[in-house]
Amino acid sequence: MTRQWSCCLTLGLMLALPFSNGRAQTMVHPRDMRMPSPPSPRPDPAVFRHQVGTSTAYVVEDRQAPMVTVRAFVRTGYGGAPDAAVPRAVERALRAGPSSMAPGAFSREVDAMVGEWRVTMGPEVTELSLDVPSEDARRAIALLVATLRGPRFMNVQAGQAPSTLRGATATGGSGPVLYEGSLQLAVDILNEQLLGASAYGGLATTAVTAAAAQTFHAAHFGPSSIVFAVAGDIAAADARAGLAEAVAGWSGGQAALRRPAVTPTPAPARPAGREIHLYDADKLQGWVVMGHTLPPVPLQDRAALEVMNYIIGGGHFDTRLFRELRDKRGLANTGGGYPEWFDRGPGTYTLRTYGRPDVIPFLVELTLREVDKMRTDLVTQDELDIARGALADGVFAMRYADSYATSRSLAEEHARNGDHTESASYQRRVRAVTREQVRDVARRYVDPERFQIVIVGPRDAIGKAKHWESSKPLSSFGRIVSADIR
Amino acid sequence: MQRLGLMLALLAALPLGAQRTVYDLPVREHLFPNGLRLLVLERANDPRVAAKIFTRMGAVNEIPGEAGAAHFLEHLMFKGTRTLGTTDWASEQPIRERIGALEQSLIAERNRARNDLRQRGVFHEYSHKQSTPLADSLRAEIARLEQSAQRYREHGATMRWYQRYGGTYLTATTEQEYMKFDINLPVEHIEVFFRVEADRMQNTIIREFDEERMILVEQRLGDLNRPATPYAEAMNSTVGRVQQVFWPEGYRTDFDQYTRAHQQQLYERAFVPNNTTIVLIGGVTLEAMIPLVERHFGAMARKPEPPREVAIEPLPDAERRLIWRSTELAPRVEARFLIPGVGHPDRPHFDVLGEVTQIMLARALNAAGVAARPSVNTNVVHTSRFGLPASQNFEVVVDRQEQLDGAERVLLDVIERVRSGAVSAEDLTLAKKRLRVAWLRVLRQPDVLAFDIGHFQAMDVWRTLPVFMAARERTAPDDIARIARQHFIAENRTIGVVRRPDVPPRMNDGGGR
Repeated sequence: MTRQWSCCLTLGLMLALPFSNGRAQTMVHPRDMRMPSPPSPRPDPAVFRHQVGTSTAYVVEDRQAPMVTVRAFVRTGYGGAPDAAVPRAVERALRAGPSSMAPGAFSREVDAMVGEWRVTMGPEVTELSLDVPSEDARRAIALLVATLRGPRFMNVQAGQAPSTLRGATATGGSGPVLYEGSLQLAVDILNEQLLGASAYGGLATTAVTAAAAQTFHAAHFGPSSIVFAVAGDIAAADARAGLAEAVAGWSGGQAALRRPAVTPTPAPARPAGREIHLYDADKLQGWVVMGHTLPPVPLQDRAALEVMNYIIGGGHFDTRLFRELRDKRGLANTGGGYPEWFDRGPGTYTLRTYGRPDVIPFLVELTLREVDKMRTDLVTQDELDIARGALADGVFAMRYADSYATSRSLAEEHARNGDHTESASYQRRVRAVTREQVRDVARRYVDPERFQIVIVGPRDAIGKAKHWESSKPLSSFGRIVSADIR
Repeated sequence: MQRLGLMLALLAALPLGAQRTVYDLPVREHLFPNGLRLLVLERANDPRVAAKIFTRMGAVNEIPGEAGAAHFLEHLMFKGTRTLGTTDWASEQPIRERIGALEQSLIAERNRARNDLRQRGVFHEYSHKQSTPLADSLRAEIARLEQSAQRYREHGATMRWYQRYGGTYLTATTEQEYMKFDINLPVEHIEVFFRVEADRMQNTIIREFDEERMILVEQRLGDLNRPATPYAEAMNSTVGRVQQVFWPEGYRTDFDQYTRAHQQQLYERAFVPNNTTIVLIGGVTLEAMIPLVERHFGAMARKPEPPREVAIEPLPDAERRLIWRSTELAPRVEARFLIPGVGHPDRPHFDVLGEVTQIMLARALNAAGVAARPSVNTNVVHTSRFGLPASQNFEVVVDRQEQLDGAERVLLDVIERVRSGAVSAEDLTLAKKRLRVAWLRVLRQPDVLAFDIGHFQAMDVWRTLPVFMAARERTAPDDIARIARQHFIAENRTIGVVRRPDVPPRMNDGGGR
């Protein structure tokens, strides 16, 4: 009895303590807080724009730390050729640095600078960056441009190119084992299902000669097809002078200036409808990635599509998927949606989650259910307000939050669009999105009946799984196609 | 204080020049009467503010059997308060009270049932008996009540308003010595940070306890999907014997032991203003922030200081060797040594020692024809700096298992050369440049810098941070040799080797034929 009373007393104290502070405090609900609106985060691009020969450069000075980042955005990528293998071979060459330096000398010099060298090729734009202490800034500019002008080409064997299903499987110290049970594998498999026939899928499985890569490079890489970004502890005049010196006497890249015809979006791989590709992996959890291709999205639909995705799965901790999968039920650590569209070729809309094997079919069911709801019901006004505020004052504002982000965002937009009209209207367009528009873009751009669903995990356990909240087996969401990873 | 004085003296010895200025951190500090600390690094033209709130609590506050409880509390602190996350607290409150009372009954029943299970095996099932008719019915009733409380729930409420007001980088972290919540907001909306965090600190309500427990299971499974995780945990527990710094964020058996009552105790003991530090970096001023912080946190009373005593690691007294057999993990060999924590004047020298050894190790492996990737780090679980003694790890991942012996010889030889003072000026210069540039990259990122400031406050005091970074510039070859000789001794050494499992030969294979 004494112990029982003691327990009750402890419990009573615990419940009472949060409310027993020294002074009373009124908590205004955040919805009712009166705070000024932030000004537009995007600066006037003209302030930072410089013409360097036939190239454009955005230079944003920053004295926060004696560091400088030099970037280049090239108006071409792996979608710029009928076979992605050729641009991928150029990507590989760019990573190796300039051919004018002895093998290994480039990486040794970057190491000596304590530089960070990155090359990222997308379907329409290729980005190179070198981040160094400001004492090495002029040398970094010279190295980056030298690499752009003459990268170290080499013959590429079939399946050697980076960022492909086969390539990623074959690389990495502990990579193969980890990759077999990874999200990246599931994403790669889905991309191959959806875009495998298109260069926009980025798959590079054929052999490429150094000469073929060189020909593509000569046509697409030139000063007029490149937009530079320099940020950090360097005077704009110095940056401009360094770039001018580096690009002097260089021409070419005209092919990248012509806007090529739009690559058609591949027809659904399996017109019969939804299929589930179940790949066996000896892991404790399963990855679920589902989606379909996405055609180029015109400007007037982009803001609504972003808002739609933010509400269902793009908003980090408070999205419909997060609430349904994690917060309410404890099924999955996270779940999200990812639209990726391009101007001149197909992209994808994907949804992703992962969890223990016994909940995988229910994760699929809940995700599809939320997609359906976006297409049938209007979102709430709160959801709309939150998404609009988050995109306009958060995600978009971060693109201009500091000098480095600003120079990068301005240069990338210029490389993609040739101007800044899209960013100039972004906040206005997002704030004007209505509940009806959100449902409308969900209906026009997201079709769960066309989804291909890839699951990577312990196949037998997933196949038998049932959740107490739902009796639907995995097969009720599509025809199951079991396959081996290799 | 004495340690800080030593480090300040080291800094004072720095030559004046450009290098020194990059370590100046013009942080402004205000201590409120209730003990809450506010640190502001003003950057006049920044349109945003990186905001973090640190509490000194973490794995070091955990008890055996409930490892990961601090991390779990962080999860529960996203479940809302009595003002956010509920549509009707007055109606929800009696349900929560009933759930709390039922849990007390459940704890009593589990305690009673413990002795129902007499045969406790070595490998499994030596914990409490989990299921009795009464325990099962109590659990079912708790689940039913939790479900009935859902009618009042407003999920995501503590995150939603950050997002509405342009918040990014919303996250939270709990490590060995701290828990923090972070957000990056437009300057104009910084007050929402104070509103949400003051509420979270005073009024958190534990909700969806069992559902969130399953999220820990998910995170644990995710960790275990990485082949390196069980090996790293085995190494940590070989290096450290009693100190919680070396504990993982809970095993699944720990998750089963968590109770709301214990979580509530952790919460109430740690989340008091005099155990809390707010860090802001961006376009705000200290003067402008003080009244806002006062408005939201000022009503909180100073509470008893949470104890900061932690387990003391016994003196290392024997060399240890762990052989880990794995078909998934790349073969490797490593040596780990206990080293002092942040606040000790020698700790910055270990950063330099680590960089310089990595350079020497890469060169020596190459010269010996061992295809390998070396890494020298101070990682334990998910963190790399501690206010307590932790380990410095010298790792070599080899391409082929046959090279393990050679790699170990090279590794131990390089460590011996470091002990003997054979560090070249060129390597030392490059090592210092790497560390300096890493620091410059931190300076550019307000969110990362705010973390470092808060982390140092949690480990020691924030003023140690600039002193620590600057002290690395002064590290001399003699310092490296001295600390290596002091700490890199056999009795303080743990060797880890990862190799493939031995496969017994078949009768008709090899020599049998």
